[in-house]
Amino acid sequence: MVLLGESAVGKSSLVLRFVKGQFHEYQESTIGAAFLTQTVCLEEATVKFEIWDTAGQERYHSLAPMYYRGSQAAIVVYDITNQESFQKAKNWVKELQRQASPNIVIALAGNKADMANKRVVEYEEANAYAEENALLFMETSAKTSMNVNDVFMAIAKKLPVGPTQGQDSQGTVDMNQPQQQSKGSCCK
Amino acid sequence: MRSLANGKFGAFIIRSVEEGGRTCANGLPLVPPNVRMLGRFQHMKALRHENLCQYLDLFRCSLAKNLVIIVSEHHLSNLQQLCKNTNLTSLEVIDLSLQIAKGLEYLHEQGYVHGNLDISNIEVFQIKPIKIRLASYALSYLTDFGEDSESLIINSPYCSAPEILLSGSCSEKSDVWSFGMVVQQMYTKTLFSDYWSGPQFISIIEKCCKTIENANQCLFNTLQKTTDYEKNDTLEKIIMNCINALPSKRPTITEILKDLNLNDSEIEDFEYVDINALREEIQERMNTEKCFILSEMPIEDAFFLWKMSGASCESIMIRKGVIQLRAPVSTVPSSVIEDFVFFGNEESRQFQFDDCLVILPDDKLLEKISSLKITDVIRPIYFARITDSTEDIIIDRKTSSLTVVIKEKDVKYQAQRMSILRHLVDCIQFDGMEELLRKEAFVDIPPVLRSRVWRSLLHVEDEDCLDFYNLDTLAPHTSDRQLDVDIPRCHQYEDMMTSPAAHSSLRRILKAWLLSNTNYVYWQGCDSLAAPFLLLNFNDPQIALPCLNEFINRYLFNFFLRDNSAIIQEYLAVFNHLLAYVDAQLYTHLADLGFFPELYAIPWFLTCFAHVLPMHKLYHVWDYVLLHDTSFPLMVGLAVMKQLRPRLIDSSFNDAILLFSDLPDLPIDKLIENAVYYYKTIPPSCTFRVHDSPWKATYSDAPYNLNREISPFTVAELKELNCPRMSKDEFCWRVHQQSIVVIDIRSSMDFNRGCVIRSIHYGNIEDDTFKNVMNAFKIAQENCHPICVVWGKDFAAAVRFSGKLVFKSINGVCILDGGFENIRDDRSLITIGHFKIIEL
Repeated sequence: MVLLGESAVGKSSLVLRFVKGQFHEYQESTIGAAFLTQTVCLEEATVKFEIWDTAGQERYHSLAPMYYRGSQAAIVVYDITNQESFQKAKNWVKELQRQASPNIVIALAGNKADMANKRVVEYEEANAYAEENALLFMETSAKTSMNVNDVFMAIAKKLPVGPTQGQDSQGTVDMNQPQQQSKGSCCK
Repeated sequence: MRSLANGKFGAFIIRSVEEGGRTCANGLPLVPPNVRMLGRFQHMKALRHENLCQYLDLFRCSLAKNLVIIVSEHHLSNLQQLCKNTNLTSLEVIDLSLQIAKGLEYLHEQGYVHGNLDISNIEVFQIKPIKIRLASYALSYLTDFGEDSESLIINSPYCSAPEILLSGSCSEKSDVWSFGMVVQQMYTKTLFSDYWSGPQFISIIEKCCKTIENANQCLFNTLQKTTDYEKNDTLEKIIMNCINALPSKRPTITEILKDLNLNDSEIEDFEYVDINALREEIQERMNTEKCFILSEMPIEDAFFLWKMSGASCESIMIRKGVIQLRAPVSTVPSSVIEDFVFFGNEESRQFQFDDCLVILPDDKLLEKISSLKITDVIRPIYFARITDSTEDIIIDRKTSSLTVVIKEKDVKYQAQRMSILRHLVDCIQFDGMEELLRKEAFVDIPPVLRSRVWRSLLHVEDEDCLDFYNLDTLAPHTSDRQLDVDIPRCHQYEDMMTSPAAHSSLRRILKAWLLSNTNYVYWQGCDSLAAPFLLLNFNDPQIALPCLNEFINRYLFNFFLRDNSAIIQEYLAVFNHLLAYVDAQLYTHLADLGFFPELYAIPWFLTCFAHVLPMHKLYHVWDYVLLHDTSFPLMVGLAVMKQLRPRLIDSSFNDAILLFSDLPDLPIDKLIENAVYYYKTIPPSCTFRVHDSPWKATYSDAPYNLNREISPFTVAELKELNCPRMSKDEFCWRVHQQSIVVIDIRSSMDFNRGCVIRSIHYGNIEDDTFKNVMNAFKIAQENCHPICVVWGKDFAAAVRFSGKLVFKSINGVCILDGGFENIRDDRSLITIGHFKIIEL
């Protein structure tokens, strides 16, 4: 799975909350990408999340395909207090629909829901957009942990069940490792 | 540089405003007032004037949460006591007034207001002739004019201007009033506090000021208890002007200085001392004074050592009962809501403290320093130059072998190191001093001198520091938004980096960097890169900027171009080759996993580890980066790999990447030791990069002062290789030095016609047994000699063969750049049939 979105919308914070249950007010910026894993037991299967948390700055954009190309799922994150980040999120969705694997499950997360008093992106607007594009949609807050696990679980439920690589036979949904492209440009 | 002399360290407390979990517009918690003060205090620390006590440090209390302790230079006697005990002549009064006015003028010039001037906080540091320094100044700036502090900082009512008594607001003109009041007390020999209580005094001022017309005359007359003093028209006129009830009617301090200077010839101050007499005086002091070393030490250095030599300021204050702690159980609030917002019982959660100045005990420091011999600390540098041995300077060899973290906490060791390095950076312009500085810096760099040593190593001259002022760092810039979101989360575990003062300085330095390098753009990570230079030159962005510029020009050349892919990709490819060179087994394992440096090493090299290491470790790594050429960051990368090797060597892809995402705590000494080792053992030409900084050409590092030029390869071509290449020049040098094993993979016929002396022939590269060469490999690896593949026309064969060696876990493999064709004309290298051909 891969997390995409404008910088400082809370991608790293969402992953950190989900994987370690922690929250840092001043989460450092991500350069290149970070990788984390988390295993979660659902009723019917065990899901192992392998999460690529990518850098938000536009300049690192060219790195992104390296991570999402092999991903089965993506969370596109925006900040509900920042209109621009929502626009960026739409661009990411478009890019994923065009370039990522056709079966990719995409979720849209409006983060920083705890700051509702500063909201500029309306829930309805984002929800309508998500429905239009068949995306999962939730507003989340890494700070209060609202909907954080839910969004990951919702994705897990939409993934195809089955032993993917033969190794784990008890119905593990294993998301592929990112595929290296040998000649692709790395840092644009 | 002010030496400690007979000064002490004085500490006092300010209570900052309680913050109740407030957040600011972006949802982040508001910067606590004490952190805001910490940032402002850095600017105050930079105030240097003969007539000002120097500020040294600000500590945020950890037990008594919202108290801050301020430490400054302190002298035991003050002007009030002096006036009581001595009969000042009017000439002395004029001289003292002049000194006070000079101190004030400097403050006003720098944009500060004293705000607190009183006869009791003017400290006397020398009796003959009388020399004074102002203390407790600029506190209104520190507390943002009281916004950030709860305790009102009004010393005594005796010298406060009417507007301060009325509204608490102070200005340059209220300093002028206070100045007038101080001078009047000296002049009329009437210490106000001897005759009136505070309230009484205030009512006098109130009464007199109501008759605004001639309030000054009224005050002057009321406030003199004796007329038994030497009349002086100049002084009287100045006092009258100063104590005008209307601030606008008071003169500026510069005008006062002019009046005072008219009948005073300063030139007399110059003293000519005979060198022999001076020498004798110093000798005398060295013999008699117990703490000569300490009193000659720069005051900042002395305080730095004090901090290491005993208890913290806070615990001293608590032990002395200055800060009164309450039992936690008595401070429980009656209700708590949401994010720990407390209600009820507020009173008991306020820490009580005495509003007084505490002299910090310095006996521990004295004890440690006086056990040092004077000659241990103050050593003439030229001796070191003549003997030219580094060992000579490292005094305490036992200590110098300890880890750098421990050395930084050792008072005696630091006292010695500080003295040596300060001496060196002070005379860096002189011939040969830089070389000596490099030698010394290689041992370690004392934290207090790091900024100056770095600056010297980066060759930042005074004229480089002018650039900053030519750049409009306040104008809007395309990177503003990104800076807005990045700066507030850059190295935030460092107290100083959280202060608004740091944020605004960092922003200015980064924008200045962008403006002075128009080919570069802001990449996330540049913030981390600039942070160390900011912290080391907090008050001098004009120095931080050229340092950052030069650092990037050397070690991160062209990394921040809009399109940096060619540079970064080449860098990572070279890193990968070097990994194969030093640890073929690990390289092979990671290559099998498809785990390439692109996945983990970009933040390392893009920021020269500034984004991955905490600041205190980064300092030490950069200490060594600055002493080496542009390949050193690669060596640090290799050293990190070595540290992680035990966990990487049989990891899966996931484990490996997780390890890097969550980089464990790396032992910094080991890391540096290994990096230096790699730097010394890896053939320099193997680190060749097409995109390397032009600075590298100017850097000479014997004995490898060779041409390292290698035929340029594209990134795609580099990625075909599994090992580095060696330049022709280095190859020749090594063959003559016999510090290389040469494997010739050409056909027997070619080999017989001419081959490199002492080379081994391995004609059938499809043979994977390496039977006859294994022994040579073993010897090469034991001696850390490279194994170089010499090839004829078929480069692909050389690539294939070297790859095989690497995958066989053989370290030290490289390929001769250009192959045999490149060296065939060098007669000294070639022999014909000299060695028996090893046929299989």
